[in-house]
Amino acid sequence: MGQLLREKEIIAIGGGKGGVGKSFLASNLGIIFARNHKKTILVDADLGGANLHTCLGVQAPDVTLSDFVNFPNVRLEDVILRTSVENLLLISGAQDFLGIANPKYSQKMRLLRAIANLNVSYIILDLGAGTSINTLDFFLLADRGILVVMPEPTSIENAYRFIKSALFRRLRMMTQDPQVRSVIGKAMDKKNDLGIRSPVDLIEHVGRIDRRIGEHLEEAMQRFRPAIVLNQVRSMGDVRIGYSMRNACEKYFGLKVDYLGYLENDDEIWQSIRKRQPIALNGEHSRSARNLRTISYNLLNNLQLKAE
Amino acid sequence: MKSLKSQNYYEILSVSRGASPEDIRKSYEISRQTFQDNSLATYSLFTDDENQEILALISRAYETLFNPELRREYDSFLDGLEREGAAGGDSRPRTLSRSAPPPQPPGRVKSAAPPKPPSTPPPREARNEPAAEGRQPAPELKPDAVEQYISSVSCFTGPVLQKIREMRGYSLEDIAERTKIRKTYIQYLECEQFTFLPAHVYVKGFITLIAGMLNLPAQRVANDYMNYYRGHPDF
Ligand SMILES: Nc1ncnc2c1ncn2[C@@H]1O[C@H](COP(=O)(O)OP(=O)(O)OP(=O)(O)O)[C@@H](O)[C@H]1O
Ligand SMILES: [Mg+2]
Repeated sequence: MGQLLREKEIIAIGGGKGGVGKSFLASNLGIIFARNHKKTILVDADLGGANLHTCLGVQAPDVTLSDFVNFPNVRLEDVILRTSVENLLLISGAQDFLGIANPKYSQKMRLLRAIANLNVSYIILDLGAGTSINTLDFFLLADRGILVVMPEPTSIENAYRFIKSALFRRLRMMTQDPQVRSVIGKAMDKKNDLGIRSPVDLIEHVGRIDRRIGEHLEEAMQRFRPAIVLNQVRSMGDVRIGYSMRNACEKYFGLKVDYLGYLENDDEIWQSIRKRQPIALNGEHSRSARNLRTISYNLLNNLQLKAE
Repeated sequence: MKSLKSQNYYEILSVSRGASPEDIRKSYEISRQTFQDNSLATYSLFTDDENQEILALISRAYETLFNPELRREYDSFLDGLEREGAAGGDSRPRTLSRSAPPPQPPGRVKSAAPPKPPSTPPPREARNEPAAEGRQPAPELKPDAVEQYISSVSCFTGPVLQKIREMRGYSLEDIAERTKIRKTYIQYLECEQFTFLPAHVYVKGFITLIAGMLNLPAQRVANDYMNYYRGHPDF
């Protein structure tokens, strides 16, 4: 476990596609941090299908995020749950996904602010599938955003869509200029009539409208640095997809993406979830536990995998 | 982040300036895998044509950076560009200013190309070079005659370069556009008028670029040129 880089770090785990292992990674990273004496809160930000408590082997909780969202007098601290792991806390997601799946704007902002103000070392946000605006906003709140990807076409495509949507939303939030905002909106569609094929083209185009805004957006782009974790790899070929994605993102989006590591396809993971006993707790010597330690080490030390 | 066309060879291969040959080779392997046909990681982002174009850039970058001599030469060219950018001032050649760095010599350096396996179809990259700029390929002028002439050349001087350029069917504008070197500079280099040219390091960089563009062994041409004119009073 490496050096802590900041006082407090918010880490979001998304990926676009459902069932790729987001909750698995979130809960196990949480356990690793907590075991290294860092106070950590896991937030189940999957507003549509909260199940993080299951990954941790916690009973269906009484208090959840819905209480915070629905009642202005409830504080976020009031819905924090203890877990069986010392230093690891949980904010469980909504069970009744009716109201909260689509919180009002003001409710969402209150939630984001409250999360950012939690007083712990690490805050891990387990995001839902998809690229809804709410999911993107959680992702953009984080200091580090991780995408979990499986080595298969749909998952990779979804990850790219996620990266692009998040980046464009970030860029849109950077400026009030109506003309630039409209260009950014149009550029989201690959077949736009402005001839903008990629974010690099977009920045150039904006720079021609207003040089200062162009530079501003370019800086924002340089700061936007998502990470990827490949899950369920079965071969070295699968592992290499991570390097290729990193390359492709650099050439296509003009973005630096960190390849933090991979998780092998491992029956023990499946079993651990069935038994509701997290790998990082009970299978410390398994391959998956080793994979997880590499990922968390790279994450905390701003490192990434090096191609062999 | 710069668009692909204005990235230098190091950026194209995603390696640092100090990268070891081994790092360069590894990075090249990965880049090649990434942009190969139907790669899982690229099919939804790039068209086949774009993949081929990037592959051509990648192999050009590799051929230069993996060859120690070509790399040294390329480095001094980049150093020149950087010093330029840092020095500022109006005397610098516009096309080499920081806002429009042209760090990719557009031609293929023949001498450095690794031997191609016989099964390889006619070079894909070739198709992409001029086409990448959205132009027609230069008219092929009896290639045998050109190659014959080139092999008879003992020293690549300005007039020799001019002759090869004309034999290949390129105008000064063609070369200027693709190398991003001012047309007048190319002209001065060809007819040995050195008075208004920038420092030697640029001259060497220019010659390297032009030679690459003309499909000549860039490093040999640049050395020839620099050695030949070293004693010249205006040089
Ligand atoms: N490396 C792995 N090896 C084997 N099985 C795995 C692995 N990773 C995840 N799984 C299986 O995939 C299932 C889905 O994982 P998880 O719930 O973490 O995905 P998710 O991305 O959070 O899904 P959702 O989008 O529904 O929230 C798990 O129940 C587990 O059985
Ligand atoms: Mg989940």
